[in-house]
Amino acid sequence: MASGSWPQAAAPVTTAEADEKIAPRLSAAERHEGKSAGRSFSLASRIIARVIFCQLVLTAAISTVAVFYARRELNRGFDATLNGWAANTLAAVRYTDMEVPDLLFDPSLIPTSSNRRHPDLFEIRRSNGDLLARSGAPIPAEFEQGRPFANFVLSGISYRAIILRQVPVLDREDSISVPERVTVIYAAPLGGMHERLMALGFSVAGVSLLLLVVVSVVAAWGVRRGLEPLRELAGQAGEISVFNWEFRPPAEASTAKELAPLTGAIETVLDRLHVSFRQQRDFTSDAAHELKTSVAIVKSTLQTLLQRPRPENEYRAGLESMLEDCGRLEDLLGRMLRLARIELWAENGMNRKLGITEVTSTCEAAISRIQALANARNIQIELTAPQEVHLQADPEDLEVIWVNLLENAVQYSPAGSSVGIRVIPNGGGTACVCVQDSGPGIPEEQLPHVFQRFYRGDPSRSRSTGGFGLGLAICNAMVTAYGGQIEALNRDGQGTEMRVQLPIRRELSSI
Amino acid sequence: MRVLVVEDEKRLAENVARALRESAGYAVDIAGDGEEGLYLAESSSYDLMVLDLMLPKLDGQSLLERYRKKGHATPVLVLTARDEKENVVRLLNAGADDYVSKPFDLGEFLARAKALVRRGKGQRSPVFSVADLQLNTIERTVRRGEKEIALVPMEYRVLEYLVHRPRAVVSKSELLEHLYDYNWEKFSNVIEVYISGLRRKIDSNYPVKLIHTVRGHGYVLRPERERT
Repeated sequence: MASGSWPQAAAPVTTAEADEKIAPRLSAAERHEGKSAGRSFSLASRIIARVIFCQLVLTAAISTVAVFYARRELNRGFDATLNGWAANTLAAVRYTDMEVPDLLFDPSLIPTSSNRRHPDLFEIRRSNGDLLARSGAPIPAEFEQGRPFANFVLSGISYRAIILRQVPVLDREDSISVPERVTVIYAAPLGGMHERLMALGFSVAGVSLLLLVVVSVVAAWGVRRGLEPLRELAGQAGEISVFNWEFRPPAEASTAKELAPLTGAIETVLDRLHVSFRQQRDFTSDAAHELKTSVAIVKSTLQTLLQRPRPENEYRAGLESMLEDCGRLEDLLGRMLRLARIELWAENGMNRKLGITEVTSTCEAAISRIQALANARNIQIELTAPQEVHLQADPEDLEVIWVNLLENAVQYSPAGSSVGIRVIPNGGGTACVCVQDSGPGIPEEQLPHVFQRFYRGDPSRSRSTGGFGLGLAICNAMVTAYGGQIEALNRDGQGTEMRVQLPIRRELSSI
Repeated sequence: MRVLVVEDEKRLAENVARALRESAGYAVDIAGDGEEGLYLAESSSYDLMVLDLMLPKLDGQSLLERYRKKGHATPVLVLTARDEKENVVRLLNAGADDYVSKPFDLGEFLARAKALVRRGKGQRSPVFSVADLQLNTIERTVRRGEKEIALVPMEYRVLEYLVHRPRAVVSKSELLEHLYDYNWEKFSNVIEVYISGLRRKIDSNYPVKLIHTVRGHGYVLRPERERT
């Protein structure tokens, strides 16, 4: 903002007008914000959606694991029961009371089936494979080698079967030393277990979904609550305007790890904006003061002359002084416009074709332009240039810098003293030119301000020498536009030294 | 009347001073910076201060605040380049009585200056009357009854000061201080000359005398029939 200030400031703009000019800029930013609102989204909704999604995945996982675990446990229990029933069935095999005892199956010893509609199935075979007993239809179970269990479907009903291979008959007969062995297959319908598993799955899923709703509501509330500092921060930031620079972030906004960088950034930007806005306002007011005062002088001289009839010599004296005042006004305008032009260059990145210029010759040209002023004050200007230094620059620009520095030095040096200008080839890509005066030096506290526009450390003195406080600002703007540096140094008791460092070759990125 | 002009722009100060001298017949002192201005304002008594705002050493606003803080009541007319509302409000709140914004019209400036001088003395009308004496500060004319009386400039200024303070005893040094700029000591004996000139012109042919000497104190302007 500071560098782009000139076009407004050159006209006598009141601060009220300046405010009006800046206010649309701020509201333009708001409009921009409004335009992008079409694609706007809620951060809180996003976070809540993600929380719910995670919750959903978690619910599904828990339900699945629970069902699988329950199925495994139920299977184990079922298998144990199956085993028990098979053993019971085996117990129903006994020897006959005949001389040579034979195996007999006694159905009265079979326990009643758990499922009345689909009774359990069994099959008992002798060790030679002959069928001893069977519940009804043959059992279509196919047992893999070494596996005691197998599932099968019979007339639409799922069954699970166990096989007890070659187990000895439990019944004992004294005449038989080696008990006979039989193979028992027992099958029971799985139906009950499936239903129980389904019920378990549904109840786990149901409870989980209910919990999910509760958690979502809590999460929504929590997230909105948690984002409250952000909303407050936005509210505070929104209240900032050219009339109100106060920014009071909520305490949480500067302590929260996520918000602290944002708060800090807003504060920094705001400070910078405020400073440059204030500088702009000061500048406008200073420029208005200088211009209006210059006009006031001319106008009051004219009106004084017109107040009553006067002798010719008084008119002549009045006109002559007015001519002088107009010259001063012209000088002020010239300087303001020059400063504006330099700042415009700097803004556009100095995109001018620049040749190679010899520095010492520009110094000599500057000295010849300032010689009359120096002579009038009986001040000697000494040029020290041990060797030629070449820079990529416009010779007129360099001359502007040296003339302003020398003019300043001559004005601040006592009559009869001397002013020095030294050209130092620095090496390392820069060249240095120093201008030294024999004045009283600049108070330390004023050193940082001497390059500000319209700054006058002791206005009465520079006013009496016709300065406006723009000379050093012009030097600063020009040196900055070339990517160089300018600084003011006090030489203990020997006046002030203005040191200019300029790059030998202009780098485009330096601005 | 004596005016202090605090303005660092020498040419403007001279123009203002010249206008005040020529068109209002005021004595004018010029201060070139804020510190000198405050010093002069506090060390002499003025009937009006004309104050620029951007001054070296001590800016106009601070000068005004310090001056008012010490209880000085002299009217202050501010010259400012910044006539935005908030600046004007700040100025008036700091104790300014009026302002003109640069570049100002000299006629308006003089009118405001005269009005402030009048108000500073508790007067409202630019035409003063004591008995049948009339003094018009705009036209700078004096009449007694129907008759216009021609006065030399200094006589007019003495009378103008006296009519601004009717019935008050005005000492010789007060007159000197308010009618001359800071070289006034040089003129210590001329007041008697002007007073006797005034008496001759406005009192001698009239039964009601206006200018009276209070011995050891000074002069007073009030109508009093001559004792016979």
